[in-house]
Amino acid sequence: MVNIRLENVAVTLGNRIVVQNASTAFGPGTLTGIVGPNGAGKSTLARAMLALVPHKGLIQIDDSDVTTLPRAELAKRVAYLPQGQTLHWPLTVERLVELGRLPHLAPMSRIGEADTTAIERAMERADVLGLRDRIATELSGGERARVLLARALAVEAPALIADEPLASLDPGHQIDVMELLQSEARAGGLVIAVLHDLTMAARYCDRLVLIDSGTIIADGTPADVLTPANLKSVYGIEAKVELSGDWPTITTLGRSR
Amino acid sequence: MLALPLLALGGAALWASAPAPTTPPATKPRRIVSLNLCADQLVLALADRDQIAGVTRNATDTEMSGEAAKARGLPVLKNSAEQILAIDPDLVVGMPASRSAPMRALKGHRFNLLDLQSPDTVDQIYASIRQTAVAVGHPERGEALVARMQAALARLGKPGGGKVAAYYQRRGFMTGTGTLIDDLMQRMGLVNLAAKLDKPPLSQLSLEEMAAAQPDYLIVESATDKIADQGTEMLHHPALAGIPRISIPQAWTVCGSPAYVQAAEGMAQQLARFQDRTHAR
Amino acid sequence: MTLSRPVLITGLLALTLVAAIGSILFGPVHLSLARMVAAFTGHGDRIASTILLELRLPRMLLGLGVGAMLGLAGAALQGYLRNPLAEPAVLGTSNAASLGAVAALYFGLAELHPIMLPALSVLAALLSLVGLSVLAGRSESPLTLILAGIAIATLATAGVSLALNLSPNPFAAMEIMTWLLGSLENRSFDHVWIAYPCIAIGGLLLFWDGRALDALTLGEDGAQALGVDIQRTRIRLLLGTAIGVGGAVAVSGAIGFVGLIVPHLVRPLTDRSPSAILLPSAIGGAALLTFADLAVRLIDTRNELKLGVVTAFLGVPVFLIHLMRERRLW
Repeated sequence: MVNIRLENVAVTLGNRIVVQNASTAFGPGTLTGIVGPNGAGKSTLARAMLALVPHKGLIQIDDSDVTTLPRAELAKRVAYLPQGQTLHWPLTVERLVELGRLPHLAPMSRIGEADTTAIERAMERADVLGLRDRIATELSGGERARVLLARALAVEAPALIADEPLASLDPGHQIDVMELLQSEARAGGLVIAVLHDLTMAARYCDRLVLIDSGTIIADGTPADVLTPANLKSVYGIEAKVELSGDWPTITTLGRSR
Repeated sequence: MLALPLLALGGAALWASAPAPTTPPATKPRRIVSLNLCADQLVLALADRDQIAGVTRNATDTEMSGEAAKARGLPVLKNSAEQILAIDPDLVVGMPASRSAPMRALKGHRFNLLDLQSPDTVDQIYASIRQTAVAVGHPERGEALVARMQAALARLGKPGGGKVAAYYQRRGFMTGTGTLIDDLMQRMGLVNLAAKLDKPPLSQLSLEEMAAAQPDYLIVESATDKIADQGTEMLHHPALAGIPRISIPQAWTVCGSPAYVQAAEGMAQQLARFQDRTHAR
Repeated sequence: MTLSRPVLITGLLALTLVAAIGSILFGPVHLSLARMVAAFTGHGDRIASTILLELRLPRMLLGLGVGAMLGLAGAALQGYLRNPLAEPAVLGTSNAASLGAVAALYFGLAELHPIMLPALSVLAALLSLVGLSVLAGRSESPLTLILAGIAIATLATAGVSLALNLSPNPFAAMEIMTWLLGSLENRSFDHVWIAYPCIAIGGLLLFWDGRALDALTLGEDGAQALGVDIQRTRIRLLLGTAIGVGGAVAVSGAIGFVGLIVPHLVRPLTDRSPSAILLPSAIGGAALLTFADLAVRLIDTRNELKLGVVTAFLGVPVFLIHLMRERRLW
């Protein structure tokens, strides 16, 4: 169980103000999607929560200021799946997933039973057991994405922040990943996903945070956030939003004049 | 600039320059130019100070020049044909002279050249002393110097007693037979290690080989007593620690000059000291 | 073709042992086995003892120590910079350390105290690494890094040549060659006492961060999110490389390519994670350099064959293989 709180957070990169006035909170058991156009500041907000970029304002993880929390401790509470599928060395899948256990390993120790179990579980959930002996850099985009997700799951942290986890995935695999994130949330995890695809976001997220030009424009259920008015002002599109079942379906009609 | 049209005159002018004159000149030369360090030694030893119009760069370096004290205050030449032309010398001394670079550039000019050969034995040193003394107009000084040298050397005897010595330089270079150093060693009654190992006049001997050969003495240049680079560092390796050393300044051995006697005396002194120590035990 | 770790380590140690023994057995002077055994058991004649204990033994120890340090530094730098072409010579560190050593030796600073030589060598190496970080910035592109390394190496080489040209030493040219091509000729135990402490400290600092190097597989953000303190890791790596390589170069001159070749040869035999290749690269480097030094002694040439020449010949194929691979991607 973990909580993340942001109060008046601003992030400046170089000369640009990328995020400003961000105040919100995240709790366990919810899958939250952070959506918005390119360059809105979605990834930067996520990185600020992990203390990867300096910020002004307050970010707390369970009442501890994220800037004072030791990195090792932060790593145990929040797992991070970075954007871009970076992989520098041709490790085997199993070895790669094993990296997720680093926050739990004491300085000179080897991996133990608990670690092996966590690794197996993570690989199973991400459906990459069959790939365990393959070289990670030789996998297809979709397989690689699932393997990296398994690595993040192996941390077994109460919170998970995934930045663009659906990039380069086929529709089928996109659904697999979203369903996986959703089930993590159902099991009590705090899951935040930075998403580009509004359809997937609308379908699977319990809550959406819409960001435009560094400011949080809307924060609530997908139906509350993805209104034609918001879509027009943020994305510049004319769209029809229909509520079918539990989630809104967006039909894009054209550019707004 | 002047050299170019002069060179066009052709090689005949080269052969017009005569080798060592055998008869004394009518008047003593007043503007003597020396072309290299070894020629400097002879000119400085035998000519009057006001006869010398130019010596070379290293003449005042005590490390390299035996007559350094005498050279101080005299005009120093660069390796430049122009400078020599400007002086208009009436005697040019070199070891060698005609084949040296500035002289080749001045092929068309007639100079009074004294072309000396690099001596490999002490007799050859005496010959060059005599030649130079005649050329500078003081033949009697040459004879006196030779006589003094012969007397000094005769007093030394053969302190080496048949022991084996190696002349060991930076980076392990060793001097062999047919050289002035070898002549010096033989005069001292020492056997040259290079002769024993049948090595050429200059060769390299690794530390292992030197340690295996274990000569009775190592003769080194005094400049290498201080470690200034890897080449000299090698000479201070513990593997050579057990071998007694004789240290001679390079200024006395680099040229075949009157300083040969100082080298011989230095060696004899050090040999005697080592032998006293052995006898005292 | 992954070998289990115990098998790999044992195999490499065995190879190193062979190299070490060969280094003792062979040299310019032929010694019979009986004499050698006598020398080692304390009853030997003076000549054999001198040759074996004062000449060949320190030389062997330096071959092992310097080789291990270069192999380890190469592996650690490749892991940290995420670049398979990184190693102390390519990045200019070795040449910079040479410059420090040359400055100490030829301008009389080494006479002040024996520690001045390795100290200046280490300092110069450190400055070059800091310079490299500034030049290459946070760029992850291999090209930027290599270019920065070439700039540093060229500057350092020019510095060495200039220093020796300006020094009052008339034999400067030969000395330049030794510093820039490397050699273990004529080393004594004094050199072992200079190099080994630096190599020990440097090695310790580099082994420390094995896990951090693994985490960096995921990029700097991914690694930080796994709890790695990037700043501390960077400082430890820079210091470790500077101290270790500085100490090694102070006694051997700049020997290149060991840090490039050994990790490449060793990597296919491991699970390819950066931490897994650290120890094998150290041991492999010790073996490689000792074998190269043996080759230098056995190949009979008029002038002393320089170690750096042998390692260069071994290193060029590695570059070529990479070139071939890169070309295929186009």
